[in-house]
Amino acid sequence: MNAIVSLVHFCEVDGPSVIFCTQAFHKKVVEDYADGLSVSSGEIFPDRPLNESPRENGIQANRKEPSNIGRPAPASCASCAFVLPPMNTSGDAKVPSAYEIKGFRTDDDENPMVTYIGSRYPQHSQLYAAVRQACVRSLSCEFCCQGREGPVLFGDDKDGYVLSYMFKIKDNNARGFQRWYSFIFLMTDRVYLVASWPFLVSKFRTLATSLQSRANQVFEKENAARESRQDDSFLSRSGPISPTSPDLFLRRRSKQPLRSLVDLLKTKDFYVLLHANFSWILKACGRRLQERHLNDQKLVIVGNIDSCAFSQKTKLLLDPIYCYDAKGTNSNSSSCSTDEFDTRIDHIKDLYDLLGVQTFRKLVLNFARGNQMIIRSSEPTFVKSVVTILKDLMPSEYCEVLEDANEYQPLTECNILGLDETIKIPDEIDKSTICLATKFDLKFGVEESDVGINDMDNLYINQLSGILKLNLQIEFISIRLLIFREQWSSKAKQYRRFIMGGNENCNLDKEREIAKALDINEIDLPIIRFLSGYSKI
Amino acid sequence: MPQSLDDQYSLGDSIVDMGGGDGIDDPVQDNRPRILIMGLRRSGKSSIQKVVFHSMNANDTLFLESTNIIIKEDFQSFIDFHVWDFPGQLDFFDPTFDTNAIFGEYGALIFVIDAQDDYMEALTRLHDTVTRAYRVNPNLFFEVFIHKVDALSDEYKIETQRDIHQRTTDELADFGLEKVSLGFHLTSIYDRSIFEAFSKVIQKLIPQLPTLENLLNILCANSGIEKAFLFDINSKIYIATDSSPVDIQSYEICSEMIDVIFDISEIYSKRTSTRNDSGMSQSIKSAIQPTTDETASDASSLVRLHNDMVLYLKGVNRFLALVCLIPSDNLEKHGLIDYNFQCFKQAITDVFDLKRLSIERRLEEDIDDDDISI
Repeated sequence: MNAIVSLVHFCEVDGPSVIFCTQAFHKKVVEDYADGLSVSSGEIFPDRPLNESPRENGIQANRKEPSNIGRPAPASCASCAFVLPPMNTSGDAKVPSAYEIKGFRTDDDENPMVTYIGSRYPQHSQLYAAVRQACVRSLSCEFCCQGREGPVLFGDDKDGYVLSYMFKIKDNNARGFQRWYSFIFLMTDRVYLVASWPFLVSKFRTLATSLQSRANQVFEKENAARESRQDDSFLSRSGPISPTSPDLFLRRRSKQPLRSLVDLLKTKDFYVLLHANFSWILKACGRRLQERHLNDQKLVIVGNIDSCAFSQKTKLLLDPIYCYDAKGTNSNSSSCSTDEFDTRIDHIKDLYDLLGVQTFRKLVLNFARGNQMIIRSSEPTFVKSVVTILKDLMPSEYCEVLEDANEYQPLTECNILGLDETIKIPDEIDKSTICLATKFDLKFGVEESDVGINDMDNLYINQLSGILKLNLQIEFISIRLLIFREQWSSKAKQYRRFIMGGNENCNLDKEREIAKALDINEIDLPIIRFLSGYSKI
Repeated sequence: MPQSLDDQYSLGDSIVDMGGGDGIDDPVQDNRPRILIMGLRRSGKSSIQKVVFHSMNANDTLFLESTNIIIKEDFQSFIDFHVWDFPGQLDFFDPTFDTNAIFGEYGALIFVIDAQDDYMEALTRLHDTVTRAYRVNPNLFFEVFIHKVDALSDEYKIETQRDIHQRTTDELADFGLEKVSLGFHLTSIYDRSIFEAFSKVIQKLIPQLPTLENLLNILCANSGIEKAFLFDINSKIYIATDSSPVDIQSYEICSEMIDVIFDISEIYSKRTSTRNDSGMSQSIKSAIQPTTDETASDASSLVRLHNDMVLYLKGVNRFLALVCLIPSDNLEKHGLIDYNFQCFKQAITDVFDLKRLSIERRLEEDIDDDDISI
């Protein structure tokens, strides 16, 4: 993420001017940049020695208006000056006076490749032009609302996109008693900038309010001091602020340059703090959002368009392309390496969306009736996630789970079996008692039609499908599922009590009775039996 | 291709309703004349705009903020204007600004020079501005306000004006722009001179001016009126006057009379909204609420002066009022004057309607053109 953060000001004399910029550099660039600057090991580095500065003054005299392109004009007035406290060098007092501090450099603790350079202007002339353009536009052209403080986003492809947060700072000497400032965040990537909007605006707002509160304190203090002075001596002309007529008042004020931020806020190390804040903002903004490229990834479509599996969890989107149409044939397209991404299914709703209505119902039917579920896939995480989901459906004491088995285990050992794709299932098993799930395909097991579903509805499956079909928030669905599970678990408990009460060999009538008592259909009885733990019997 | 700033991002006007529109919401691109107020920083541009169009108290302009963006406002009256107040620090002929969009419309450019300060730099900027703006749009009217002359003595005022005039014409002649005519005005916000200057500027922009002057001449001749001004009530600028020479004191007294009358009428009018006592003068608030409603069109008032003259105010319509100075002898034929005034009022209304119809017709034609193009 390449961006520049800067503070700009609408100066009385110069108009919109850039006060301070911070930019992130990667290591190989810093060494090129350091020509002309002697890079010291500390945070602050000195400028060229003093004998070169008259040349800069010469440039200053020739340039009246700040030009938009080319080299930046040096600071011509105190109010937009970049003023730093003198360097504290212990010992030799002769050295600091010859140097003028040009900027800051901060090394990133966590990433030694990155440094943040803070200075008056960015070094490259193109960048300078872009920052200056952004500055002019931010202060003199765009506004979120006339006279109000707030963020605006604008820009174009040539000069980059800018998020600008404008605010006012109180100053006793200024016209209207306040001055306009703005924080600018410049980068070329518009989408990234828009995505970072809430973060940046809140950080800028915090920074601005802290500056404003500090300035207000100073403002109040000065006002109080002035009033007390006026009370004491009405006619004394003590200092530049007390005029004796409006004309003199105006005349005096127009001659004095306005104060720089250091004086205005009465903080000597203001720019140090500002640079620290800007560096943090750059770093945090870069960290906050990360972009990933999806190589040849496409949407997974399962079943028909209605049950299109567009999972909200992007992880699932990164599966290899898998197309499955209604007839049940599947065509496996190129599978690209998914080593870096782990594919998991996190919620039963995703499983429902992925499998589609029919397949899901079959899955639940088989599982709830006590058939063995074999989940087979090449990705162990995927297997584990599906196993976990299925396990949640059942009361744990009656459900044996074996994830990650090395070979096939029969139904007596476990209900849910997770296998790697390569492990073969022995052929002699009765296919109707197992249900094999390989990715999004179910093999074997029983179908709903086998069980005689046409006459009456399978209440369990219908209710479960009904809940998962809801297009509501995940939390709501989870609560509904919980309620559903508890309901059926209580029914199972009642059935268990019924069986334990000596009704093991019940006939058809008794079955019908108990079914009516539990408010379920007869077709659900095998499910209830499984839930209550009696299916193995 | 990157578009320039003002073109792509001109965010509409901040509309200040100066007394109700005439019902047609025109966008910026219509043919409303545009008045640009430019000058060096601290020359007094924003103060002028506030005092004239927002009825701000002149002493309150001390507390105005420095302008950092172009403030675009609407002035609605018998004729609608845009008034643009520029920040003095920026150079608007920079290639990043769309000079065509700024200077290309029909209107006037007012350059404000601070007469209390050393004006050499201002003159340089003036010459620069005039030459470049003329290149963009030769039809602009150029006016120079020599501002803040309230503190100068009379000879000094005249001397300054002469000096500035001399230098400017010389400079423009060097550039080959002799045919550019500049108007010079001595102004100050502490008296009425700024209003007078503005009136003269606006009069240049009204195409119906000859008609109005003619009507006023007829009225004055036939009613024994010595001097008549057709005022815009909210801003106290006069739109038209009869052909006799304008004396600044008559103008002052007429505009003060309007102030007095409408302030008194406020006392007796219905309170439609609450007023809050902000730090600024209340006249700002009153400017934003329309002080003229239906009663203004029928207002009538009479003030007898000590020198046997009578000030007679008659409301013409929502925006305009006629204020005339009549010798008190002529007032005996009061009924005649009133009848003449009715005719005059009708004529003004007709002119007004004509203007509106032409705008409507033009809008229809635009719509038709759009249809054809579709």
